Amino acid sequence: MLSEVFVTEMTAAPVMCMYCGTVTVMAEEHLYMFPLSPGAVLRCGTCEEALMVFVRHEGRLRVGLPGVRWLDVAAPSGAQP
Amino acid sequence: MAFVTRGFHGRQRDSAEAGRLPPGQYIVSGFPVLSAGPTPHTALSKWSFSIEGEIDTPKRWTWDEFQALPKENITKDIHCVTKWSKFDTMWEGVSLDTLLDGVDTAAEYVMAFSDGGYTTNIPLEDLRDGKAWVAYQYNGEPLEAEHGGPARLLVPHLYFWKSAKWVRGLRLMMDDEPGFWEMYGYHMYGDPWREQRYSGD
Repeated sequence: MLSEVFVTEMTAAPVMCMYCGTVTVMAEEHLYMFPLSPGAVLRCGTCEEALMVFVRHEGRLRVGLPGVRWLDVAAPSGAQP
Repeated sequence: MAFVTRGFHGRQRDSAEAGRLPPGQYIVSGFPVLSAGPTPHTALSKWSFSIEGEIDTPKRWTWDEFQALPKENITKDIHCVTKWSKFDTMWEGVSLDTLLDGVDTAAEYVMAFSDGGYTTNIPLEDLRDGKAWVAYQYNGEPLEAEHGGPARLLVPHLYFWKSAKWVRGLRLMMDDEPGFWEMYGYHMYGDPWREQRYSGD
């Protein structure tokens, strides 16, 4: 379900909750209100604080990260830090 | 220049419904449940309702004190930003006029806050003059937790995300500040008749 609001590879991305420190892949967190609403909330599967907020409008997806300490994704090939 | 096209699109409606359904909305008979998080279950012994912020002496009621306040029966149409509207919903609760009676404040806005961390901003004048309530009964029964019980804000003239579930109080503010959804692009005011769904609408 999460892959419909986010690019597929991202759903396997580990994410650290800013509130409780738990690290889980995004696909295992709790998603609320999708797809019934223009807004959706991804909550930490451990402490239920809001990790990410999504608002869809006119073909755009605004992604808020109110509870994310970090998100770990594959770097583009050849990219240097 | 703005052109009024209300009623131009959409299916033919019963004449009694015409003028009652805001633009872009459809009618439902059920009561959809939309929650931005898990349903809190606050014991009534731990519940209170507060008015704080720009007020010299903050106000607070326990559940028993709240139940002793004058109550009103309310029948209103409600409109959700997800495009459903429901006509003639029946509630019982306390008018914000009762709760704000005697409150002397320079504040022009409030932030409603709820168990679970939800917030939403509303102009103070939209809570006065018989326009808003804190409701604790729906259809003659105690308000179910999934619909915001034990008590929710009821501001039916604005989109229903403004009618905060599990409401625990109001923070009086001098300036308008965005609440939970407004922070990410929902409209600061949310008038269904002007289709104020997103900032910029």
